[in-house]
Amino acid sequence: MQQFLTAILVITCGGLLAWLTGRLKTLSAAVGTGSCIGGAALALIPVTEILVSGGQTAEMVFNLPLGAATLKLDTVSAFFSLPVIVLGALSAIYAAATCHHDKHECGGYWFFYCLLMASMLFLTASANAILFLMAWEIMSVAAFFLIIHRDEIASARNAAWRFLVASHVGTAGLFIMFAVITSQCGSFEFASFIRTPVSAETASLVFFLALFGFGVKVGLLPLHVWMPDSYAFADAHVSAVLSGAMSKMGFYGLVRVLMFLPVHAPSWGWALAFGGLLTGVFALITALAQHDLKKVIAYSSMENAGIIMMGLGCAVLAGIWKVPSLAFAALAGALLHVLNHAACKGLLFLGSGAVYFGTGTRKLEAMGGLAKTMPYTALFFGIGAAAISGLPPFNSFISEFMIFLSGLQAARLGTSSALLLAGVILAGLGLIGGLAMATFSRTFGLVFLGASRSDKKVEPRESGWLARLPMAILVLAIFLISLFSPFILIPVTRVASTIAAASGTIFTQESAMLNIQPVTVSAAVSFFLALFVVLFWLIRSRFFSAGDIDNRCTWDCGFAAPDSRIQYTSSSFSQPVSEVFSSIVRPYRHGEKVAGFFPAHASFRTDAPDSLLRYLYIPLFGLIDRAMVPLRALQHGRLHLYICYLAIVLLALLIWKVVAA
Amino acid sequence: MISIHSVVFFILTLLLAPILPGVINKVKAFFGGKMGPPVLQLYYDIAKLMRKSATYSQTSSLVTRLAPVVIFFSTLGAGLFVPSFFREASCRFAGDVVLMAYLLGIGRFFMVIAAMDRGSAFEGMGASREVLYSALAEPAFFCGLLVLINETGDLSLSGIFNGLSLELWRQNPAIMLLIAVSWMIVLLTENARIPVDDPNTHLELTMIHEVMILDYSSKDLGLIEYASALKLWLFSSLLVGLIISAGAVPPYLHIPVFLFGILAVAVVIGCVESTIARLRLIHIPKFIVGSGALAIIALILKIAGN
Repeated sequence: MQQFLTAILVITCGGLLAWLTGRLKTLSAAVGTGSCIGGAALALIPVTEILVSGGQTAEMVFNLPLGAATLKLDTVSAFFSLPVIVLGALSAIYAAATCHHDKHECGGYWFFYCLLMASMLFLTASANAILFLMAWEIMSVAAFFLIIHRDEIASARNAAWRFLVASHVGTAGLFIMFAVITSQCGSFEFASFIRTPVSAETASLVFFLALFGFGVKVGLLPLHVWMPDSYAFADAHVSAVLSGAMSKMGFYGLVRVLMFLPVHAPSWGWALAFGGLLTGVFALITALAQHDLKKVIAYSSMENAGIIMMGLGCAVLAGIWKVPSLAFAALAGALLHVLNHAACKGLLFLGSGAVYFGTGTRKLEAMGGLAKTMPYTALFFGIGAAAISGLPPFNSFISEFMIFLSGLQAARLGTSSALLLAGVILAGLGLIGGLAMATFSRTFGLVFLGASRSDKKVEPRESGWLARLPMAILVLAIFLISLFSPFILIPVTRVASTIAAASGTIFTQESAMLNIQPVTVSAAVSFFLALFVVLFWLIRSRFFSAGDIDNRCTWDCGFAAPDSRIQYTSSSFSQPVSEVFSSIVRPYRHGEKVAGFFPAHASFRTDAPDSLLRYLYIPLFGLIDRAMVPLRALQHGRLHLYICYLAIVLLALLIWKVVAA
Repeated sequence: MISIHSVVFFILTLLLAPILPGVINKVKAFFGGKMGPPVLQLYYDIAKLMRKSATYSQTSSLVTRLAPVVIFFSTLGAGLFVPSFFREASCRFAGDVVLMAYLLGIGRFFMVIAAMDRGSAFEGMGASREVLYSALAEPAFFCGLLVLINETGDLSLSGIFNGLSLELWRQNPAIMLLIAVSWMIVLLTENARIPVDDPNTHLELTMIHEVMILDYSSKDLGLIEYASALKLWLFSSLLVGLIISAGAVPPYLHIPVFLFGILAVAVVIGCVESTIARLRLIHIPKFIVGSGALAIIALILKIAGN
């Protein structure tokens, strides 16, 4: 515990120091990165100890004026602090490697980055509602300042404000939630929450408030509207941390709340499962119609949140039905997906940053052929794209496989509700998997393959070795997780057992092995196939390539002078999907119709802003705005009248108190 | 997990797979009043392609060269789990069907990115259609499967298909028929057959699968053609296993009945291709979603019957 707190302190102090040295860009970057890496290394020691050896949780009690406040590091906290530690350190390296691109002064930027990382670590260790909410608030505010860093761009400012409003609406839900629990048990300590029995209605109220509050962070439909813009306008390393680590804090909170409430209701499981399904499908349909590289990746964060939520929902229902092996597959799958998604998303966002620095744009319509000029980034991004689509032999396949396995087991159970759940999971994950494959084959193909669509004559540059290093480490993590999945699943099993034990589900060795064995076999089979592919390809290209010609032009119906403009573009690639789901995506179409026998000029472009933003939030907030106009009379800027309001309110409260007594 | 016996049948599958396109073409030739190419034409084609040297576009990168190998091995890997000849597959474990579907998925991923690798006007067109149609076909496949898992109580493909019996057809004819029809549509979609895609079309604008491999030649094309034939065989085996239940056939008749079944599937595909035209592109998603709807109806019937 001391080490963990020291780590938080190191990161925070390093951040302050980086701020003070902000004028000296290199020094400030060195201090910031150094403290992030040092803090991460320090925090990693107790975290791995707890995850690997298990059981030994560390605790520390502060005696504050308003009662004791506990900091506690158990398996669940340790597990959820992993993405923060790893991504925090790697993104800091990336930030240091790319900060010379930044024209702003970076001191404050480093400070808020360190503050974000420290507050997330503190959040996982808080076992007290007040500390938790404080850390949650600091995390949101630090994230806001990171997103608004490029404040000369109006859209970046809008994105940041939207983030701030959304996260505070969510935090309001959390305040009410903790108030409800605290009113039941009279203490802010998490330990007392677990001990206090609550009625079924209160428990449901608490759960749905938590789903709302934490749902904002994870990007649950329809609370996701802040996500695509914020991730798109923040710098790559910030988006990586926001998506890979910060949004996972939402899941941490959700899991904690599930642990507070020993008796779960089926409606929670269904809400999670259906919510996850709708979130995943909506996110991918919208992602396919985007033309901004980072927005595509941002929507995919939302999709993966949907997958994790489906797993959690299945675990809740299986716990109620008392089927441990089914609950294990779902819960372990969901937890492992948290790690997998953090690794893939970190990699993809850092890759998108490299693309941005190389080409100066995020527009898919202006890219193409980058694999030739940026081979390393292309390789890393390609692996990330295949991994996040859940394809074997990469890591996300393992976690999606486990959630699939829970669906298959539910199908075997045979009750009507189990069949419905199996339908949601299997058909839903099948559709989500197919659409994710579509999204990422499109993205990778448009950015890195084919010929360049850009009209700029500048050659894109590959990023330096220091910026490539974090990506290489994440690629390594992706391979290690899938190759050693049985070993990775040991700590995950420990975390899942802790979570399930809180609601009375006990995982036996048998129920765990029942699920881990197929995972092992499928990982082994896919790795052998990958090995065969590599071997066969080496043989083919070494010994059977005599006479191969590789300088011909692409076949285009006999047209011998193809150029990059004849290629499929991002609009045209997504057109069939947008057509099928046009009632959901509602893309705007711009362009001129082709007319006459010899059309001289024609153009076509689609544009698909988030339909919920367009049809729900903008009208809703417009309405609220108009309704609030009369209240503006109260806000006139005269201080003495404001003090008068205070006096009136206090007087009213006093009268109420006296009358009530 | 792996028995010598099942490996023999796997090898038999690998050897026989290229016969299916030949049979389909013979049936189509019969409807057209022609002789048609020999049934073994695909064997001759592949043998010839393997002797040739390849031509690549100068726009292409490593992806184009790697993709055929990935497609070949992923389809082969998927074949490890599909039971044929009413026997156990070479490899079985709980949830192997997911690995099978996702191995086919990674083959498709490489097919699609390879199509975008050449910077062609047409190949991206095929790619964008392929990803949509295959994504829409997934739910239909899995919905049908979960009803079968519920009926047989096993989580591996071999277990499911060995557990099927005529009794199931007698008890739930509607459910089984719905799944069979929905899987037939999935088969037509996944294997680029009419009415979703026309393998014989000569217009690049209307192609889906064929247009994505326009730039392939020689050994690469041979591997892809072989993988496509194998994929068709795998889907046909699933359909045969569903319609002619394993429990209904005495063990000594397994091989002839299975071969009869799989040729019958090829003949049905040939008849479909000869008698109906391919759908307009805007109607294809409705057709595929329709197959998902059939499978969901089967699931609802199952839930209601509980």
